[in-house]
Amino acid sequence: MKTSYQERNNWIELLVAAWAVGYYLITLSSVEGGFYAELSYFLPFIVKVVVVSIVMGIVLAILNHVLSEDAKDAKDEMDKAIDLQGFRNAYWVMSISLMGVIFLALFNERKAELSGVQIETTNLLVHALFIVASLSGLVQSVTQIVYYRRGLV
Amino acid sequence: MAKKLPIANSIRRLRFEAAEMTQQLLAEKVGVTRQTILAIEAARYSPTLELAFKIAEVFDKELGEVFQYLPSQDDSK
Repeated sequence: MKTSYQERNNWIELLVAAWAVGYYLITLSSVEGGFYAELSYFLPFIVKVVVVSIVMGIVLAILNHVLSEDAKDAKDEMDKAIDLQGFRNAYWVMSISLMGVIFLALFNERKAELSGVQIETTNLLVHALFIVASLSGLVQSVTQIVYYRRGLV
Repeated sequence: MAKKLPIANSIRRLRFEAAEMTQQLLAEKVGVTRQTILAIEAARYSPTLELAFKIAEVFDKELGEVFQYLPSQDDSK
């Protein structure tokens, strides 16, 4: 499969976003209490995931730049159009998901009354916002790769 | 099956007639990546008017000789 330098950068972004959200969800499910666990445990963990994601992204981008013969190619008009489309898709996912998070937070207290299971609203917001941010990043990378493979039709 | 644009082109034939010019060389002449030329040839990407004129200029042809609009049945209703 022949790919351009810009497309390989999308694969790197996808890899990093998938790692971040995967590692986060696996850790969340393995920690005692899961969503209900103390935030004091999760805040350093979230910082760690974010920092490692950034470092991993930078290292892989540098490797891609060094190892690619076509790294000198600037973004052309198709790359820019694909960037815009991917960004728009991520925007929609983030907007709709954020509305969902807002309603989730609004009805959290009521849900707790009905079900008897209490999740701190702050806990809920932290986890939901992290997942929403990662998800929109994933959507951006995946749709951009699809546009590179199938074209902008 | 991947969708195609209602715009056909003769780039592949024109490259062949131009001493079998490679996609890479055409890409360099018009300032895009080879992947973009590949997508245009396969009717999977519609170039901007500026790029379309540049491609036509490389082959010393009129725009209509390089790109042809093929309206679908739905468009003509």
